[in-house]
Amino acid sequence: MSDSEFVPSEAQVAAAFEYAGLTISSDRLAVNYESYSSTLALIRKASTPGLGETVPAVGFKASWD
Amino acid sequence: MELYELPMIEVSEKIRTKEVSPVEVTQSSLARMEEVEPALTAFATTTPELALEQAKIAEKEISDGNYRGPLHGVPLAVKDLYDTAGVRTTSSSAQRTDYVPDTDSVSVAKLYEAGMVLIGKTHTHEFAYGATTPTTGNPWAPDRTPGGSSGGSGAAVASGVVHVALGSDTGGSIRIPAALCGTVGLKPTFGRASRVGVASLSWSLDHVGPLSRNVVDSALVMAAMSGYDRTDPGTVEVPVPDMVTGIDAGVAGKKIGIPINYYTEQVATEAAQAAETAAATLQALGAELVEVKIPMADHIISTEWAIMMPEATAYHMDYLRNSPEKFTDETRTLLEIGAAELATDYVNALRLRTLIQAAWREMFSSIDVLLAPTLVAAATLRSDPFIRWPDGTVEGATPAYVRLSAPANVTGLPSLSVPAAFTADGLPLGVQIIGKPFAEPEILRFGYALEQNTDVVGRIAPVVAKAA
Repeated sequence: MSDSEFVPSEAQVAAAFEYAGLTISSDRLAVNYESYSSTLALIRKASTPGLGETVPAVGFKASWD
Repeated sequence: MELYELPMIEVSEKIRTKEVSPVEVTQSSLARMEEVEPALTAFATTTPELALEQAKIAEKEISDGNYRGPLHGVPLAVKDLYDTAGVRTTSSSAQRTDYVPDTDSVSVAKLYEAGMVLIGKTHTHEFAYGATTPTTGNPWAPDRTPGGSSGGSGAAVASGVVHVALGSDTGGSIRIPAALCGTVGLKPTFGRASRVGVASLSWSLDHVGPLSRNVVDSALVMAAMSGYDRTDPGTVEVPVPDMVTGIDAGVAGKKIGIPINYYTEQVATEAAQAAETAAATLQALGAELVEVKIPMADHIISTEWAIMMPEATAYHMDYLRNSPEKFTDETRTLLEIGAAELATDYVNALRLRTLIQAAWREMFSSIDVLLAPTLVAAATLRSDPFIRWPDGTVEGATPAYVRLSAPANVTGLPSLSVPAAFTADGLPLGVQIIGKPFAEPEILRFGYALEQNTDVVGRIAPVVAKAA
């Protein structure tokens, strides 16, 4: 499976919520699974192959201004 | 003609020359608010007593010869995301029903310094996390969305209650309500103005800026709220330019990029035509139209959401763990998704942002500005916030509206939305002009040229007549 085709299963989403410390009932998970999985699949597309040496667009400054 | 119906610069001039007092101007604004608010619910909190108190102070200062400038004594509405000392600031959420800040946000403090008068706090889509602002009606059709997340600000400006209201923009939240309500909206360059004291949606993508009736109003307010702030590490230490002088210099000889992809996909015919008409207007004024291909178009939306969602969740994590039931279900669901995102997906989105910025910089080497529809379509019904496309696709209003505005958040480039047309149903449509970094004066010049050569900028929605 390529990265762009990734869609998390309901069990994977449940595990992620538990690890994040969120209490999500099984009913809530079932009702919202489509929203959870489709959005996480969209987000996964940002982990595109070939990013190589590209640095993140962040700007920590060590100066004390 | 009532005072609120006059353009802001005319009101300002009357205040400067003491033909009218800030108290009269504020009373006119409050009277208009009383007239339209029952149909719109644009405000979370109104502050008539504070407004009249501030207006009386402004009146005395001016009569004593201490005129501060064109914003002195002018009413202001502020999105309820911005801290206002002593005034309830709820972010339109049950999580902050009783939150009363001790200090003003930096932007509000700067506008107070310029002499503006707070008449109230406008509704936002809860914590700015959405583009429809369900609490509020669109002044041109109260059964339709004003957009969001700064929907209350869009409604307050379009209905004539204020000439200027503050918004914030993480994926389009200034420009979306501006376009749907028929107002001007300016998202500045990332780093132009401090976000300190404004509830965050995404530190990497948040911008603050104005919605206004006319272009020059946004120029004046944006300049007043701009500047480096060491307490906001996102701000950049660059001089704040005069955004008004030269606004009427015209666009002759300027190169306008016209996208041949991305901004042309799944766009309603009337929205696309409005942008084409605006481009033709500018071309007739001497600008050159240059077709451009938007680079890395397939990565823009995933980058926007992959950065925004975990940052939003991190900001709200305590609420999400301890009182999730106080969020609307929509906001809670989005925040939950952010908790499930891998850190590696977030970092890779930040790396994509680096590549997108470089590619857009290259695209801008052959143009001065980019012109595109602000939105894919006009306002949806509040009761049915979806767009149904001819191919059978159904798209939620928030993702649909964000599609064309998010690129300026990911790239951090300044973008000005200007009213461009009305649909056959009488709903406003906007066009956006995206500029190079810190080129706010240039995009304002394009907006001003459109305003001077069309008849759709500066209109006030009748509201009450429409509701009746």
